[in-house]
Amino acid sequence: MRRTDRKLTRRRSQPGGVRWLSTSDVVLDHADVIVIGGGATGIGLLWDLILRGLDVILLEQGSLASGTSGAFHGLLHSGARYAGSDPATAAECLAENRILRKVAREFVGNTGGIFARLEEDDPAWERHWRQGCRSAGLRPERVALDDLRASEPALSPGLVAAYRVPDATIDGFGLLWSLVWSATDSGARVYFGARVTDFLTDEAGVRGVRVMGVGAVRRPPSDDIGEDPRVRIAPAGPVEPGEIVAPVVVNATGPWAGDVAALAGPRAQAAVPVERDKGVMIVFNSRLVSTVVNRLRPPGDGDILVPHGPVTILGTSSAKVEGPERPAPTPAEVKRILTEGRALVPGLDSVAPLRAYAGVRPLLRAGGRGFMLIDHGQSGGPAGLVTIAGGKFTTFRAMAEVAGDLVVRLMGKKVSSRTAEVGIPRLGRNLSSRLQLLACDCEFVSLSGLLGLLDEGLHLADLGRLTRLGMGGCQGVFCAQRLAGAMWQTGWPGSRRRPHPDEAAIAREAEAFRTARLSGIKSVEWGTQARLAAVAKALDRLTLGNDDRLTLGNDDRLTLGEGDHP
Amino acid sequence: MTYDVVVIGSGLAGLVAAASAAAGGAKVGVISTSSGNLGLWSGLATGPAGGGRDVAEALCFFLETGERAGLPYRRAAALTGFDLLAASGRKIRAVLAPETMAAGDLRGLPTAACGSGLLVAGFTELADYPAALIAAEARAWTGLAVNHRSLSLGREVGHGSGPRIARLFDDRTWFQGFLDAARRVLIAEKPWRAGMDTARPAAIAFPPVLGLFAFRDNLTALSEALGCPVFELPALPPSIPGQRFWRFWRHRLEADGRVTFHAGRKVVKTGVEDGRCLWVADELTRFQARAFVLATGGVAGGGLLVSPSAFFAVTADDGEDGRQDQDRWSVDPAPDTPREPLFDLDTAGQGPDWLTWGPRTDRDGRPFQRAGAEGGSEAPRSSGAGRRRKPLANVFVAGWLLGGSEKRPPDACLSIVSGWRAGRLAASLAAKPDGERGGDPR
Repeated sequence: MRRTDRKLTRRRSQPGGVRWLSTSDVVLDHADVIVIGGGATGIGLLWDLILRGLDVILLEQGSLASGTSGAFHGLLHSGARYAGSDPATAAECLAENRILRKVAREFVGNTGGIFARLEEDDPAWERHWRQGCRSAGLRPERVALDDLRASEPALSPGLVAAYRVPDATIDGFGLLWSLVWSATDSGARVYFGARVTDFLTDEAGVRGVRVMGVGAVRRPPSDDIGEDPRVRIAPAGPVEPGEIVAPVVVNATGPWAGDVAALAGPRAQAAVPVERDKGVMIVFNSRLVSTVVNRLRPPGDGDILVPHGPVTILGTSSAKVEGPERPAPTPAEVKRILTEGRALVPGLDSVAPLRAYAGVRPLLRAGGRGFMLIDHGQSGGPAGLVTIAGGKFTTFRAMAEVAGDLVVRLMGKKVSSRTAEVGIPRLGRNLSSRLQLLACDCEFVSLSGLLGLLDEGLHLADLGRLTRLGMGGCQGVFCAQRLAGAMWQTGWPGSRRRPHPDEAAIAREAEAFRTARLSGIKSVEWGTQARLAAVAKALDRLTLGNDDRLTLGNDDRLTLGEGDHP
Repeated sequence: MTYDVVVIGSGLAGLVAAASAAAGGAKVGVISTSSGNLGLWSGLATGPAGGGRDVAEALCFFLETGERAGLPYRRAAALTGFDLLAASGRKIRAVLAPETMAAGDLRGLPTAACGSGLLVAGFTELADYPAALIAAEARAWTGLAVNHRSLSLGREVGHGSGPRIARLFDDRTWFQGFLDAARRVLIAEKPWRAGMDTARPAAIAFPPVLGLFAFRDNLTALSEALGCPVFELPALPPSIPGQRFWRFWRHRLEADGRVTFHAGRKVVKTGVEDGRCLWVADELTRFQARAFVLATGGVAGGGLLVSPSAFFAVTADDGEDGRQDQDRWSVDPAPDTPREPLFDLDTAGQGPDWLTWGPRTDRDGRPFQRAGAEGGSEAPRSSGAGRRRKPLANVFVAGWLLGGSEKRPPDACLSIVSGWRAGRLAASLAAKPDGERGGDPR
């Protein structure tokens, strides 16, 4: 934490040259740019601006990719999915697909993709789609059905046409973590658990934000090291509010974009035309297909299959929702996706489902899957506030690039984006080893690798996004206790040099981790997953004692009393 | 092969049913793939035990058999059951507890009286047993002074899970060395109460790995050496108390000479005629009997299968599942409830009346015992209009298969009571002359 009592002055490099001055005693940090939102767009922008040599702070109310970017299907679009409905987005996706294959090679699974038409699907759409592909610059290559049946035996025998497109899979969590670490190594500050509650403005526009949550950021490992440039995480519990100042603030909060803009006034809110749309996905415990499979029909429910490591994700659905928070999948949605999925993969019921989850797409009110850049200085104020809205994971880099262009223009600089050229190294990788004691038996995550990360103050859920911990067959049911023990050993949430474990906080972490993973199972409790869930619940109640009926007050009778008998 | 009674499944309910049928004079065959979910069971019988003569008799039978098997269980003197520490360190109520755990009844410990605290001992080498966290939770939940101390079992042991370490405790020579280390670390170093000058902690809790066979002697020796009561806590799987149960009960039943175990066998075929089961068979052998006890477990044990359609029938909110269409049942027996795969028993029954002890709704106010397999003459015969399947007159359902689904959170008491009852009913049916066997055994 950079807490300072002295007055801060800084020249604002905007026409008019207004200086801002803070007399507040709670200025926590200051930089050239504040990015709000720790999803793909915000982190992409952080990376973009760092490469342009700016001083950047990223504020995220939850944790890395805890919103839409943490609940997508892990598909790097070729654009073919939008070829029939939104050719502009299709072309955008194709361009980004080519760039990310180059700069984010480590994170892209080059599976290729198939568009397959079933007998009941409209052949007219196939013609329309091929036309759209051509105008977007895609050249779908027709696949012989016999070859396809041989290479993808799980697919329905009722396919009548299939095309190969350059779809791919992408490890979103790994990519975003690596970007965060690369950026923080270059001096960026990333605050998780920091919720923006207000904008600081003066007559010239925005000059910073007020945040909740950063006030009690964990101290750096040691005072003599000086400032810790790495990720900072606010602990749970009440904290003091504080201010973070910068002449430019970018709102990259996806489905929250309207809410964050509203903090700057009704006119700013009105300038952000974002709607929220819920999409549900089901994870199956098997690699059903080796390529991404799309159904060749107007995009609908349950018509994408994306293979990821040992699992396959089936998606998705679409429904308007009110709030930006990630909703729970409803049984009706899961059922509908499953019904549609069976048309593509007839043997779907024989595969164990692992969990179902839902994300919220930030859609532009104008329709389509494109994105939009809003310079609030040009659309009713306040100046210095920028919103980047809409879009999708595949286009996150392009979104960051156009937002970055505007940011440097607002600052009166001329530096161009380098994100299309600079490769992204994978960081924090050597966590999987079979030679060491395993923390997670399903995904081969070694305990010693995790201890180092826990030592940095990460939360269990963060580790899951980083290492697939708890995302395998047992979904965290059995490993939470082991991890709790490991956290105690590292003295979590203290530092290695001064270990002061907080038992209550560790218990809360483990509990939250287990509950979160179990809530994902809840929507898919059939087959072997039903059995696992039943065992997990029984262990929870009968062995761990997490049941209020078994921990009643002293006067409640549990055993014999003749009067109890009906 | 021919028996009076064949028990399918050898988890807790299956073992109790076999013992109970044998006690009723029957020659019993037990067919099972494994030891069921005993390896997951903490060893505690948590409530609600409920009331009634049947329940009292069943628990007595269980205690007597345990005593004879060399694995004694205790029943709390208090009406409210034992107050024990769960594997998390929270407080848990239990109706029955193994002797090794019952000593940890919080109300029986002299903690308040002598002002000293409880000590949770852990082993550095034992995976998944965070003694410090258990102690912290126990402190928060009981209000007692609870401290912890981990001791090393020796560098050569290496990290291990419960079964390996339990084997170590069965070694007498090794255990003598352990006693010295325990005395030094747990007593001489006084880790039980910082700044408090009592000679001993009120009691010391150990992980439940103090031997697969020698645990009773070990606990006695530990208690003498340390000069205070010692007891075992429940722990996450792999569970040694569950493995002990499987070994000790099975040994006793075999030694008594009335029960034969066919382990590693999976029943795949059944012979049913006129609403009665005549035989069951695995791939190789046919087992005939006059009565059968089905104790294959609930959803957790694999005795009930949940298909996607069954899952959505219970949870769907869109009315698309065709549930209102009762006529469908007369032509299409496809279940919208969990399926019992062996006999295809009706799993939508209300459950027998005698099961309705204890609280009758769960935390969400839903009634318990809505699902569960309907077998034998136990269950109501008219559950639901147009049901095609008839209960089988000589098949008795026991254990979590009866409690069935999440609607009635099952527990060990359910297995003990229903196992005892199913075994008794099966034995008495088998003892009747042929002509009378169609009737109600009650």
